[in-house]
Amino acid sequence: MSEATTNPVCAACDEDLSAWIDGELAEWRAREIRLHVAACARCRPRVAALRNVDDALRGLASAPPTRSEATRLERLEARLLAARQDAREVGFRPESAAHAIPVVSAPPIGAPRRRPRRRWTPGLAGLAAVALAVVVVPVLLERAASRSPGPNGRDGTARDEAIVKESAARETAPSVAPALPPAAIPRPLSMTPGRFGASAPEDPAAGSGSETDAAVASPDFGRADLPLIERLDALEALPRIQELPPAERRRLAERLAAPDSAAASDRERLRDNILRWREMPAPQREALRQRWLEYQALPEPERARLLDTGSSLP
Amino acid sequence: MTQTGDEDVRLMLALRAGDAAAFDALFARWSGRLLRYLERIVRDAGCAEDLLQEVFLRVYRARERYEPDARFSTWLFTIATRLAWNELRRPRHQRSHDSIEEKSGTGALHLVAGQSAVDAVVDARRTSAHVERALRQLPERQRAALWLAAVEGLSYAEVAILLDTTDKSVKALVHRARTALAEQLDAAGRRGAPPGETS
Repeated sequence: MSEATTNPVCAACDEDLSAWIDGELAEWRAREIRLHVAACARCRPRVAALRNVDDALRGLASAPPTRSEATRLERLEARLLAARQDAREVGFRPESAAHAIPVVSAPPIGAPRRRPRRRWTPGLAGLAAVALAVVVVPVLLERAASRSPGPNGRDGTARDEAIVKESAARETAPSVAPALPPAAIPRPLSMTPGRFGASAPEDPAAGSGSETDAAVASPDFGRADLPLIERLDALEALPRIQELPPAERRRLAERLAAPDSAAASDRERLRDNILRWREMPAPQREALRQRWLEYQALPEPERARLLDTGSSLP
Repeated sequence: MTQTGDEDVRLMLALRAGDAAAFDALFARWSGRLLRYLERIVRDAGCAEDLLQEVFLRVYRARERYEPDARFSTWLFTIATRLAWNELRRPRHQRSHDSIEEKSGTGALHLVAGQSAVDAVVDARRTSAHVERALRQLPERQRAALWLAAVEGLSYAEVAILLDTTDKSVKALVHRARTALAEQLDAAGRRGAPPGETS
């Protein structure tokens, strides 16, 4: 953390600096930032450093094409021309064109085929899983983990949002956590249907009827995110989450999604607890799972009370 | 819509009407920028080239369905981004590539071509290499969001459409990415070595 962000005022300002640089803030907020930066000796260099990044990036982007790059583009253009001619002659099928590369819809080796989904919206079950994990797992952990300080490594507070978001992206959670390799973790299919005419979701330019493997087509998880995603096995270990009554799931989902500090605190706890869960010995995990089952066996009002108050299990 | 956007839309509509020259014009206008973007996302020059071809093939294939609902650039970068992410999930992409990194020094030379001081050339070249390396270390969504917002000038709303997320998420992605790069550049500058090599 930079020196500037240790001051609360500067920290609040810091969160908006990038958006300010990009001209994305509301006028009133932009004015606040402008005034603060002008007066703050700590934030000015910070802004300069951020702007230097942009300058450097633009430098990369605006460099004239090298000779080899120009040659490559010329070669590409020729290949495209050939592909287009093929299209006119035999009906356009890029896959069949001599120079066209294969359409990238094959799943990774070993990855299970998944049913193509035409549209993904944050599944209620997934969100409920997160909500439950946020509210209940801390309760359980506090009892079962004997308050052992887990290696929660607060090295990425900025990851909270990613964890929650990507947790919520799981439409389904198996009742028992399999040790899924990262590549096999279900991923939501990301799309913006109808945005560009009759475009298909995973590829705005593609036809709408093409089969697509969700695990391949979704851009939601990057390889760099996989270590993070792997930690979310903890959520999958929570059994039978989806068996909760829909009303309860909805209520919990709404609670988690609330843009208030309590929800932010829940997310923080979720992150910590997921990390603790991952480091927990198997017997301890099993004990925790049993507590979870006990919780599920409670009458609904009692569960609601626990969730609302954050109390421990009776 | 900007004048540039108008021209792209005009070309795309011309292509839809059967004007093959419009496709060449679009390629000439966008191929360089797209190639650089793809290179940063997939970190492999050869792969980026293949993807660029695929992007334009898909543009061509979609020409008859094209409707100017959104900026052409947003549409184009959406195709490119999703193809790139598909590619990144392929097992064969596990191998590392240094071709982009090698190029970064060349780009820096162009940056300061108008300057005569050797030091300036060296500094710019080093900074360029630092940025390139730091960029490679970012998660791909951060990398894409920052590039699209800072380099391509897309609004957060447009990037959000492109990445299929919210404006708020884009704001966070861009800020994290920019901050990480700034810190890496700062650290590398103080150490006098490229980021990622000194830890």
